[in-house]
Amino acid sequence: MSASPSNVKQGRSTTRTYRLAVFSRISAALAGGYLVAYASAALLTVILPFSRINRAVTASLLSFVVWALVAVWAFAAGSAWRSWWPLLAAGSLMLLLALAFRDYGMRP
Amino acid sequence: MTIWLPLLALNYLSWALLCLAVARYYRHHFSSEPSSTRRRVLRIVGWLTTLLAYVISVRSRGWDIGSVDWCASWMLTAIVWVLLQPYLPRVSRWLAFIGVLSAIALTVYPSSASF
Amino acid sequence: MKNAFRQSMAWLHTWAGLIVSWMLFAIFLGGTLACFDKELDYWMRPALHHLAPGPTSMDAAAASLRTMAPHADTLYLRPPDARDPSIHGFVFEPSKAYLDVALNPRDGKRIPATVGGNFFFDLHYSLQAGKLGSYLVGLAGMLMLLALISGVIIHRRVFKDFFVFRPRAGGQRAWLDGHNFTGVLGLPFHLMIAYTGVIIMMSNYMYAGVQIGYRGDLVRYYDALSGAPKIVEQHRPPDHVASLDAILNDAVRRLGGPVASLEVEHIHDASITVSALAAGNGKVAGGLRTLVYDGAQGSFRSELSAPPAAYRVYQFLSGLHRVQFGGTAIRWLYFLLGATGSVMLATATQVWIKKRSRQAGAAGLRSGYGLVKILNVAVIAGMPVASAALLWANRLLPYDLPDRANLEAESFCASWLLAAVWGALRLQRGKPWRDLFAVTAVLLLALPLMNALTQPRSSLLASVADRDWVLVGVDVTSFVLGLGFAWLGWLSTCTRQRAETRQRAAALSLTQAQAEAP
Repeated sequence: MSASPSNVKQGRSTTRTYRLAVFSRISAALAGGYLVAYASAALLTVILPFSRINRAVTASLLSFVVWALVAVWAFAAGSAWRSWWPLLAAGSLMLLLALAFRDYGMRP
Repeated sequence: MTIWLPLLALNYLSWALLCLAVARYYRHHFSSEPSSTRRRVLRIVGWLTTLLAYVISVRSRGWDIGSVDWCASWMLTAIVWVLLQPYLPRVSRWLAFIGVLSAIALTVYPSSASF
Repeated sequence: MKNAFRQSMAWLHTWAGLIVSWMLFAIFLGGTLACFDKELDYWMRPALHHLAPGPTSMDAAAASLRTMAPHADTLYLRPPDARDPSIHGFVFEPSKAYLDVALNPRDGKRIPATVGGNFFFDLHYSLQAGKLGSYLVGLAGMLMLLALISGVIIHRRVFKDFFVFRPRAGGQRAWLDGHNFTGVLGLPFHLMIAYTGVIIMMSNYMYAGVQIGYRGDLVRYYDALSGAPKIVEQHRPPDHVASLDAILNDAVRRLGGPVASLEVEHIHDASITVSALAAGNGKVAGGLRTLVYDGAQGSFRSELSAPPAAYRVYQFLSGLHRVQFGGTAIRWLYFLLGATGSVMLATATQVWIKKRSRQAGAAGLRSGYGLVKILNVAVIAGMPVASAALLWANRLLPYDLPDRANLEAESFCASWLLAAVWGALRLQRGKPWRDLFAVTAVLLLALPLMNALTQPRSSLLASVADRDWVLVGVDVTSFVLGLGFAWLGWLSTCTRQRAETRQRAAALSLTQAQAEAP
C-alpha cells in the first residue's frame, strides 16, 4: 500500500495500513537516513584524499547534507517499502567498506 | 560605518528595479504598460545595482564579512520592499531614490566606501 | 509521477513543518534575542554600570575563581571587551556543575548573579535542557532543513510570486503570502542558519569520523583539532605563579589585537600553562592565533600552529551562525532576519490551522486541532511574555537573594506557564492572542520606566548622559518592540472582527438568496 497522500481520501478503512506506511517513511527518513549519513561519514573518513583530521571533520560536515537529502528522498520514494531497502542496502554497504578498510582510514 | 547606507540603499534600489521590471507591478505603480525594452533595462540595471553593492561591500570589509553584509542586506531590503507594496507603494519608490543618490555619490566620491 | 512527488513533498513540508514549528519558534526567538546576549548580560548587571575607571585585574579575577573552585585544574577567563566590561570566568570542578561567573574587572569580586542574556543563548541551543535538549535542538534543525527543502520544491511559482503580499485579501491567502515571502526572501539565511546550527554541535551528533579515523579516541581527536602540544605534569606545585595581567599585555602586543580568552591549565602543578586566544572580530571564522606561555615564569613559549583546514571551515560555518564578527550592525541584521524567521514560523502555524478551520471548528478544543490552537497561542504569544518578564524579574528581585539566577529563570518559566494556561482557557470565548500580545506590549513599553525606578543610575536618561549606548539600546529597543506588540494586539482584535463580519455578510447574502428563490 503506497503512502502517497493521493490515496488518503480513498482509504479511511485502510487507516491502519496508512499509518503504518507513514510510520515506515518517517523512520526511514530519520533512522534510515541517519544510518546512511553515518555510513557515508565513515566511508569518507577512509577515502578522502586529506590528512586524517581533515578527513574526519569534512566527512562529518558533509554527513548532515547527506542526511537531509536522503530523508527528502525517503518521502519521495514510490512506496513505503521502497523508501527503506535502498537506505539499508547503501548504508550497510558503505559501513562494511569503511570497517573493512579501517586501518587505511586511520592513516595520518 | 558609512558603508551601511550605500549598501542598504543600493540593494533596496536593486529590488525596486527588479520588481518594476515585472509588468504587473509596473502597471500597479505607473498605471501604464511597460515596453519590453524598458523591462529589460530595468532588469539589467537592477542586477548591476546589486552587483555594485556587493563590490563596495567586499572592498570595505573583506571577502568573508563583506559577503555576509551584502547577503543580509539583500534579503532584508527585499523584505522591506515587499512589506511596503500593499500599504505605501509611493513611499517605496521615494526610498529607492535614496539608492539612486547613494549610487551617484559613490560614483563621484568612490573613496567614501572603501574603508 | 511528478504529481506524486510534489504531493509527497507537500505532505512532508506540512507535517515536518508543523511538528517542529513550536520548538523551532522557541529556538528562533531565543536565538534572535541571543544576538544581543552580551548586551542583555550587561543590562542585567547594574553593578557593572558606572564602573570606577581603573586598570583591569585578571589576577584578582583568577584568585577569585580559584577560591570558588579550589579543586579545578583549568580556569578560563574572558577579559573585558567592547560588549562586556566584566571579566567572565568559567571553571570545571570534577563531579560538579561547571561555574560561569561574571567578575568585577577591578577587584575580581563576583557580581550578583543573573541568568543574563546568556539565558536566551542557552535556551536557543539546548532549550535549557542540557545534553538531551541539545539533541532535540539538533533534531529540530534537521527537520527545519527538510521543511525548507520540501518547501522550495513545492513552491511552484517562486519567481512569479516573488513580490506577492496581499494582506488585505484576509484569511488564509494573507497568511500564506506572509509565510511565502518571509520564507523565500529569507531563504539564504534560513538554509544557512539551519545547516550551520546543526553542525556546530556535530561532535555530539556524528561520531563516525572519530570512530573510523581515531578508533573512538576522542582525546586524540581533540588534540589533532587544537594542535596544542601535550603538557607533561611535573607533579610538584609551582614555585612561582606569573601575573596573568603581564601575560595578557604581552599577548596583546604580540597579536597586535585583543585577546578573546586566557586558558590557565594545570594550575596546581609546576607545568602551569597559559594560552591566549586571539579575538577575531575581523573574520567570520574568528580568532586564528593562540599564544602559549609558561604559567610559572610568564615567559612566551610558542604559538600554536594554524588549525587544520577542515576545522577552519568548521569555524567559518560556526562563525556564520554565531555572528560574533563584524560589529553591532551585522548583529542587528541577524536580529531582523531572525525575527523574519520567527514570523515565517508563526504564519505557517496560522496557515495550517486556517486551512482546516472547518474541521477544527467542528472538532472543538479537545482534539488534535484544539491542541494545535493551544500550542500556537501558548508558544507564539506566550514566549514573548516570558522573555519580557525575565527582564522585569531581573530588576525586581533583590540583589542579595542567594538563588537569584534560578529565581529569574523560574520567573520566566512561571510567566510562560501562566500565559499558556490563560491562552488555553480563553481560546473558545475570549481573545487570548490579543490579551497576551497586550501584556507583552505593556511589559516592554514600561521597561524603561521600571528600569529608571529600580536602578536610577542605569536609567535611559542617565545612560544617554553617560553615552552608555548599550543601556540606551536595550531600553529603546524594548520600547519600540512594545509598540510592535501593541500593534499586533490591535491586529488580533481586528482580524477576528473582520472574519466575523465576513461570515455574517456571507450568512446574510445566503438568507437573502434563499428568500428570493422561488
